[in-house]
Order: sequence, then structure tokens, then C-alpha cells
Amino acid sequence: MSVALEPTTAHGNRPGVPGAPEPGKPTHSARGTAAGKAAAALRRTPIGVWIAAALLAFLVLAAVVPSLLLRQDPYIIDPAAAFTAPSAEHWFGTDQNGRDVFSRVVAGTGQSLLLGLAATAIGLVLGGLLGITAGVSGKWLDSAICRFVEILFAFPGLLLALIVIAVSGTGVVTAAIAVGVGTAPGYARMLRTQTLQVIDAPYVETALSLGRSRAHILWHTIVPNVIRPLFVLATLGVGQAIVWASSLSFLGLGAQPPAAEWGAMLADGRNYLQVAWWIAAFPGIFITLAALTTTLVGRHLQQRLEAEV
Amino acid sequence: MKHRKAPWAPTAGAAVVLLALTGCGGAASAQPQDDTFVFATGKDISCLDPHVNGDMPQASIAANYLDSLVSQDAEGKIHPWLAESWEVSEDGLTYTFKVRDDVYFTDGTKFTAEAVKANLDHMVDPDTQSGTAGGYLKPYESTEVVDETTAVVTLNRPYAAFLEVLAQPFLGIESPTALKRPQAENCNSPVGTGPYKIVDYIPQSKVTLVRNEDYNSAPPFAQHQGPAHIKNLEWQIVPEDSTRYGLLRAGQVDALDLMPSVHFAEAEADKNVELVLQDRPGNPTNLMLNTTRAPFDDIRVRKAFLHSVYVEAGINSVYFGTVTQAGGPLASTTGFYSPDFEDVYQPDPAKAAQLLDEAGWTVRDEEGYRTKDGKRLTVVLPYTPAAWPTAHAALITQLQASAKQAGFDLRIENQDFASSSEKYNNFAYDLRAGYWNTNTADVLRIVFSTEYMKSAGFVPNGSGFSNPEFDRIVNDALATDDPAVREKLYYRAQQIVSENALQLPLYNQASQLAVRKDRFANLTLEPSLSLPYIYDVTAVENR
Repeated sequence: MSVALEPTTAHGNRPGVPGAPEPGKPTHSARGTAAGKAAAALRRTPIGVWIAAALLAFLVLAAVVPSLLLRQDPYIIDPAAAFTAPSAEHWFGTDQNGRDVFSRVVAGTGQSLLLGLAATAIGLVLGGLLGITAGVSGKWLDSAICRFVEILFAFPGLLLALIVIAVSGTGVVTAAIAVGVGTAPGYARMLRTQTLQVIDAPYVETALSLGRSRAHILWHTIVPNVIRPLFVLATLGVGQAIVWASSLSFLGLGAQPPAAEWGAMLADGRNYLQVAWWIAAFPGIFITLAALTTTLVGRHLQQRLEAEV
Repeated sequence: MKHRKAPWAPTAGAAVVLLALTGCGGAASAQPQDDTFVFATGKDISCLDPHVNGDMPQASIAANYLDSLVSQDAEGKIHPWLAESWEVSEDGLTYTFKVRDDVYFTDGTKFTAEAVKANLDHMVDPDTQSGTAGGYLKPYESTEVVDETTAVVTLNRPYAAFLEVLAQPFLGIESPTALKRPQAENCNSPVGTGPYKIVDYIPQSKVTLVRNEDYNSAPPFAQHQGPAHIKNLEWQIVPEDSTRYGLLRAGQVDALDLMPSVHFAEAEADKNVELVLQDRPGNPTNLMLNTTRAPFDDIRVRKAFLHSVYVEAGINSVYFGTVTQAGGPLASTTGFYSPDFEDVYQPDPAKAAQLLDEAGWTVRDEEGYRTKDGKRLTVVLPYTPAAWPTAHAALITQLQASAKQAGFDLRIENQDFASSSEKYNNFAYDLRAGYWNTNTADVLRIVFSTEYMKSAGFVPNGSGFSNPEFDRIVNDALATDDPAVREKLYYRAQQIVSENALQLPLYNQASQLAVRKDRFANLTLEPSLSLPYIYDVTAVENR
């Protein structure tokens, strides 16, 4: 099993990522004990992934315990100190309201990562329900769901998200739901394929012949086998969800002022690029870093998994 | 300027490649030409016909393709324009206009007294949804066409500001033939008698205008007669502040409005750029407090709010001092303005705290916001960032922070223009961002009197203030020509507005234009609303 996992929702940034392993490179060389296997796996992990993992760890730290990294209150306004260039006191400078950009970037990490995770989870659940239902039900329900998903596919994901926002209003929660809905069609289609493959697998036949009920087979045999690759897929999706959620905030549809959210900060700073580049640049860099690191790590996990099976 | 070919080819090629790479849309105009003046405006134009709705961007472009019945000079005096003369009846209720006999609209229709009637009727028609022009014409009753050049306008009450508002481009005279078309069509291609005519309009992108070669009705404030100097006028809509300024620097546009404050110093130092600056009269840029619902139905809470925010610090930082702070209900350039109300509400945390305590907002929750009966002191401001300069958004974020110190949870809710407009017109807010540009102190009646709590289109009285004494005063002020009497009445009106803490004044509205003086000279402001006036612009020789 591997073909169904093409990360079509992951921006196609597969080729050319520095340090990423060649797609399809055999990783079966490790033999012997479990410990030996793990050690070999670690040795095979490219340096780029290590760097990405380290950065990701930093972001997670910033998200979970921002107080460790905060240098100032990210919401304190100091008009007299507005537009200060990066310095020892303000590592990333200050914004148009004299707020410390570094502290705001750190404070925004939690929200951005959480938004990314929540949106991905929503997308997975929605897509999972649709995809697995389609995969196991067959016939007209399968057709109906497939057509429905195809209709959704006709809209670019971000547009789908904007429709959700237009209907239900702005805000962080709506943004998460909107991005989740926007990504759901992709997940649904992949999960349907995945389900169809699992259904034909010998162990499902075995379970059937053992006389297990359909519900039992669905829950204990099919779902676990579908879900495992799903989690890898999710790590790839988080990066994309972060970018989309930031986009919504950039458009003023996600986080509301004075929230320290990367997309909103980018939007605030864009008209000051010529005089105070740091207001927009640092949130922009962090959006890129967050998306890049989660995608790199996710992709590595995916390849590991593919190699194991 | 002649078109230069070979030497520029590589540069032009590189520019095209660069544009393609950066993904910028739009035509990469080659060399700028001296028969085309490109103006970049910062706010989208909903409908080109300024009778409909009535926001400043509409008046800005209207000043260049519409003439008005009368004109106003820089001192505020009224002069003839399309109307050659007029007589006002003793009781102030009847205006008899004698109009010109030799003026034609650019669609070939002749301008007559009939056109005066058609226009005034169009403005007050509820279907026109005319918040501004229609709002000004609430005292309008009817027009009688006596003969081709005589129109008699009847009012339902004396209206001393009638001629002044008639001088505004919002009340510009359009072709009655064109007005008969469906509104959507007239919005896209309104027709006037002005120095330019509209040939094409791409919404949210640009309006293309061309010189009216037969123009013979220049107003007294113009510096020449006959057709305009520059043949083509392109009115680009570029809402992004930094992009608009970047286009001016790069020479792709010749002038812009809503000059971004962050670039003022740089522009002033640029020998190719000239700034044209003028504060506008009217009701300054403000946050209106909705008195029709809690918590701002309590005057103590309103006063506490005004005492809790730091406007000056914000203006000095994000606006870099490029705007004039306002404190009272009238901008300092308005007739009958009194400076006595500038400093009534200074930042005063102790006073704010005392007022909120008195009003029962005594408890602070874990986030520091005040509460009363378990309910947080929340005030909602629906906001459309695209409708405001970048600095405005930063300023209200600062106000949000200072209001928080006092215990207010000021929620800035970003949304699109349609959503915020709907809330603004239905009192579904606690704070509303606005301004009202007009050339008379009668703005007080428009923005604060009971009559204007309801309106077709935009609702001017956003505070929902309804006070019989105030209503009587501002209407009495229209019934007399005696400046001393009017001064007294308008002083009292300003006092009532200030005492009732109906709005938080921020800064005077201003025309802030920048023009490429290496290419064009003589960009002036039409005097009624200080709007960019392209008619007298000339190309710079030997550039």
C-alpha cells in the first residue's frame, strides 16, 4: 500500500526540498533487533529533517509555554516606541503601535499551530467520514458521495473556506472550521481509495470468514488500517492549514485585533514594508518556517511508513 | 513627448519580465505621456453617480465630470455656475433660478430648467438611496419649471445652507436623459456637462475619462475657460496604501489621494513630488457612540469612554502628526466653529474610573475588564479595514488598548463593507467609525438631529441622539441670515453635542494629495469640499 498517499493537498512541495530523501528510496536495509532498527532509522534521517525537527520543537515550545520566551507583553502599546528597528532590546523590532514584534511572533505561535492542528483535525474527521462511508458502502451512496466531493473539488480549497466564513462570520473558531472544510474533499477522496484497498485485503476476508459482524470489521479492522497512514497525511496537512489560516487572518477574516496572529501581523505590516520591513517580515518568516518544518517532518514520517510496509 | 524606441527596449523588456515574475497584474504602461493624467484614488467607488449613496470617492471623481448649479469660492461665498442668477423669497422658502441657455451635456442633451428639476427629484427619490445629497435635501419640496431657463424650487422650511450644499459635487447636475436609465447603468456611466466625460469604468480597477472638447461652463474658481488642458484622465482605484505611493514614486501614476502618512517625510524630501494638503470642513473623523443601546445609553459610560482613550499619542505615532487632532463636533475649518470644545474630554483615568463606578461597572474580571451583574463592559466596533487608511486601523488598535486600561472590552470586528454598512444603518453597534465632510455648520443637524436617524441609504445620525432642544436650535439656525444669531445658535448646538458625549472626535478630514511636479503642474482643489480638480492641470514643458 502506498499509492493512495500522494499528498495532493500538501502543495506539491515534494521535489527539491533540500535534505529531503529521494522519493521511493528503499529504506529496508535495517535488520536485526528492534533497537538496531531504531538506531538505523535515526542514522538514515537526513540532516534537513533534523533541522526541521529542531525548529518545530522550538515552535511547539513557544506554543506550549510562551512565557519562557516572551520578552515583553505582546499587547502593551507604546506609541513613543513605534517603528523601532531590530535591536538588542527588541530582537524583531517594534510595530506601528510600539509592540514588541518578537513577543508577538512568540505569542502568535500557539494560535497558529493550534489553528493548523484544529483545522486539520476538522478536515480529517469530515473527510474521513465521507471517504470511509463511500469506500465501504459501495453502489449509489459511494457514487453520491463521490459526485458531492467532486463538486467541492470544483472550488479551490481557500474559496471553500471563504464561503464558510461568509456564511458564519469572522473569528478564530470559524477560521478553523473554514479551513477544515476547505481541506476535507482532499482527505475524503484519499480515504475512499484507501478504504477500497483495505477492503480487498486478505485480513478483511479472513475476518469475514470468521463470521465477524460488519460493524465489528469496520471498526476493528478497516478503520485502524485506514487511520494509520492518515496521521502521517495529517502532519503534511498541518503545514498547509497553517498557511490557509494565516491567509484568512491576513484578509481580516480570522483573528481579530489586537490578537497576535501571524497572518494578521503580516497584514498590519504590509503597508510599512518600505519603512519598517521587520513588522511584516518576521511573521512572514515564521509562517513559512511553520509550514516548511511540519511538512518536512511529515514527509519524512510518510516515507518511513511507506518503507516499513 | 515622443515615443522613444530602441534605447529603452532592454529596460522595458526587463520590466515586463520583472512584472511577470512578481505576478503583478495590470498593464505595464510604457513611457508616461503628457496628454494623459493618471490619478490614483485610495478608496473604492461604489457607484460613479454621486447622487446614489454619497461617499467621498464619488464626489472626488464627480468634481471632474459634473458641473453644479452654483459654485463656492475659497472664502465660502456663493457664485453663479450653471445657474446665472437666483432670487430667494422673503420667507426663505422659494428659490428662483435663472439657468444658462448655452450648455449641453456630453450625451447631447441640452441643459435646461427641466434638468434642474430632474436632478433634484432624482436625489430625493427613495429609490436613489441617496444618503448624502438626498439627506441634504430633506427640506426640498418640489421644483416648478416656468420656462426653459427658469426653475422655481420650493422648500418646506427655511434652509440657509441650501446654496452651499448645491455647490457640492454630491449635488452635481447630470443629464436627465441619462438619469432615466436603470440605476445600475447610470452608476457605471453617468453623464454631466463637466470638463471630462466618462468613457469606461471597470469596477474596483479604473475609470477612463476623456476631455469634453465643447466645454464652455467652467466655474468662477477655475483659472481658465474652454476645454481642459490635459486630454485624457485615468482614475485608478488603488486601495493599498504602499502600492499607491509606490506607483507615484515609480512614475506610473501622476497623482494620488489619501497620501499615506508613513511616507510624508519621504515625499516632502522628494524634489519630483509636491503635496497638496487642505483640512476639510464638517464633522471630523470620529467614533460615534450608539446611545440607543447599553452600555452607551448611559451618559456616564459614554463620558468614561471619552476620558479613557489616548487619541493624541496615537495621532503623533501612526499619523506622524500629518493630521490635525479634533476635539469638538466641528472641524476647525468649518464656519461657526468654536475652539471651546476641543479639550472637554482629556484622557483622565481617575475620572473614567469614577464615572464607571457610579454607573455600576464596579467589578473587574480576571482579564481586567469591568463587569456589572456578571456582564462584561463590552463595546463592539464593526470595522472594514479596506475602507480606511492603514494608520486609522493602527489608531483604533491603540484606542482599544487604552480603553482596556479603563476596563472597556473594545471589540474591533473586521468585516467586509456590506456587513458593516448593514450594521451601521441599523444601530447594531456600540461604536461606529465615520466622518461627514460638508461646507457648513449645518453638518450638526445632519449628524446629530432626530430627523437623520432614518435615511434612505447611509444613516448620518449614528449616535441615535434625539433631543428636542437641539433639533429646534439647528433648524432655527437655518431660518436666519443673521451671522450673529447663527453663531450663537451653533455655539449652543456644539455645546449640547459635547455635553452629551455623543462621539469621540479623532482628527480633521483632509485632502492629502501628492502630485508628480516633474510632469504636471497646477493640481488644485475645488473649494466646496477640497477635492482634486484636474481641469486646470497643465503638463510641465521640457521634462
